Amino acid sequence: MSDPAAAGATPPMTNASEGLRVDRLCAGYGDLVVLREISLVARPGELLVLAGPNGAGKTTLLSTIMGTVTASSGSVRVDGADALALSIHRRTQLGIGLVPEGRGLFPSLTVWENLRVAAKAARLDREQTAAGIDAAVRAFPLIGERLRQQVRLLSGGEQQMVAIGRALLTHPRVLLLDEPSMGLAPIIWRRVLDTCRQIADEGRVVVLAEQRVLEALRAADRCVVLQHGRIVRDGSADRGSIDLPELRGSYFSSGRGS
Amino acid sequence: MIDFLQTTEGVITAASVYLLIGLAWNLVFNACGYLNLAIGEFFILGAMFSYKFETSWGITSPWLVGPLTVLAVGVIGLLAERLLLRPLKDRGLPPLVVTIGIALVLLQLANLLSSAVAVRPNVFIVGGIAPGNVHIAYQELVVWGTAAIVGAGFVLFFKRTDLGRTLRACVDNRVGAETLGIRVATYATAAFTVSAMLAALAGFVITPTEGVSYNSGDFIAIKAFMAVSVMGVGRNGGAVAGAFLVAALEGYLSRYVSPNTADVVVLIGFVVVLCTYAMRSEGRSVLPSWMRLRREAASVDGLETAA
Repeated sequence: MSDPAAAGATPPMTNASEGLRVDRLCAGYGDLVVLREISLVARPGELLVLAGPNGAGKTTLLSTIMGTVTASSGSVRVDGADALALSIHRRTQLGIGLVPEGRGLFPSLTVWENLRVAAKAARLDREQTAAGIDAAVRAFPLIGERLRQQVRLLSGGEQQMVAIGRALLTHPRVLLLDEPSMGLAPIIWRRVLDTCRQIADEGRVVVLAEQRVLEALRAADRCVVLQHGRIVRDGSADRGSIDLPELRGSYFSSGRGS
Repeated sequence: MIDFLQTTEGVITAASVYLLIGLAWNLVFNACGYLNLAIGEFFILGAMFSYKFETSWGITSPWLVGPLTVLAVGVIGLLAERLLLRPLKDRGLPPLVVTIGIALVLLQLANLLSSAVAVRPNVFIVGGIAPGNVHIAYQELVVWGTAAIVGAGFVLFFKRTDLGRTLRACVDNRVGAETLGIRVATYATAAFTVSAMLAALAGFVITPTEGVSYNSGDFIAIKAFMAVSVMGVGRNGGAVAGAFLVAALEGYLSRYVSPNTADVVVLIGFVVVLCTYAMRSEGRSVLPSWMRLRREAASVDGLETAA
């Protein structure tokens, strides 16, 4: 996994110890302002849970960092390099990877084709693509067994693994996951969390936007709570200390799913 | 017997044309997400340009006329998508309506190029063969060959090339593709352009055999649309079967009943398909809806039984 020779793309000049730094970021859709001056820092090795009720701006924050939503002001830096000025594929080369809400997979394509399309979109060359697919298979051996199967025939848990594996293709230093627990049985969700923990322990930043906070906090280092587009709490992932009344609803939604 | 075989020969030629134009329908439907109602005009422009290149500009070699025609229509398709369709779509105008507007403009352009009742460029290769007294013109063999090569090329392109896989990915999940940094809009422009070129290619190869008038494109486009709708718009595999089905229905009916009956049957079929299409909101598959429903149910089961 941490094979540096297989690194996805040539990284621009960076300071590897910095991780993700978001500074006074504002973004929205047209006249609708969703993010209001968001500032947060996540260091390599940190697993950060982004909590908050529906509509708080979690998805918008991840999308703005990835580049599918345009920021109106502020900055996003990965290891010191400015990300906001870059196109999406340049951001993947910079080391940002996103597993979007609903996983963003291509259901009628095979697992291999899903990986291949992502590799091409990130402009990986032949060796990097092979190394990346290798890395994804090593992280999730199941992907290796299912390479020729259409994604729509996989179970929800398997699909989630393909989605995360696909994001790992480009060896992201910042891995963003939007509602990864969606549609997962609790036991699979815990396995996905373990994987996220491992990925973080390899020295990457992992950001989980989640409504099923309860289990996520067990694996996390920090919890950032978003409300109405603002950060209302940023601290350790200690359950007692983040017992905001506004969030209680989402804690108890942890039993959601099949 | 010979009569039947001769009719069948005509059916194959018609099916080849419907397949070429049908694939053009599919390409835009898949990559852009709407129906391009100007397909028939791109087809006619293919015929018109090849005629003009020959008669007015004195380019007689079909090896030159063909590429020039396809290229010229491709440029028109590119401009139409980039300057009209994409900007207007972004402003919320339904692309279907915009394609009707484009069709009207192109119809006038075709009329300007030639308002003759039947435009007929010179044939690619004069002559033909007659196995068992069934006459097959060389030009028709060119049509069959073009359809076979383009059809096989389509399958290989979408299955085996990165560009083809990426296009399928855009169709499958547009947002997912954008998240990966794929420029979905650029792919849509390319697909629209190629689709216009395909229709023009069909026009270029078929007109020497039968001749067309500037306003005859829509009826052919409608039949080609029928062909692709039978198995579900957007499915290239189904387009082959659909093309033969429509061509056979039309060919045998007009030979053994009457040409008018054939037209009426085909048009009624078109209205039925359109109605089915309009009533199904997701509208990918038209006639065999039970297939589609079952498939979706299966994938939902897959999601639910995650454990």
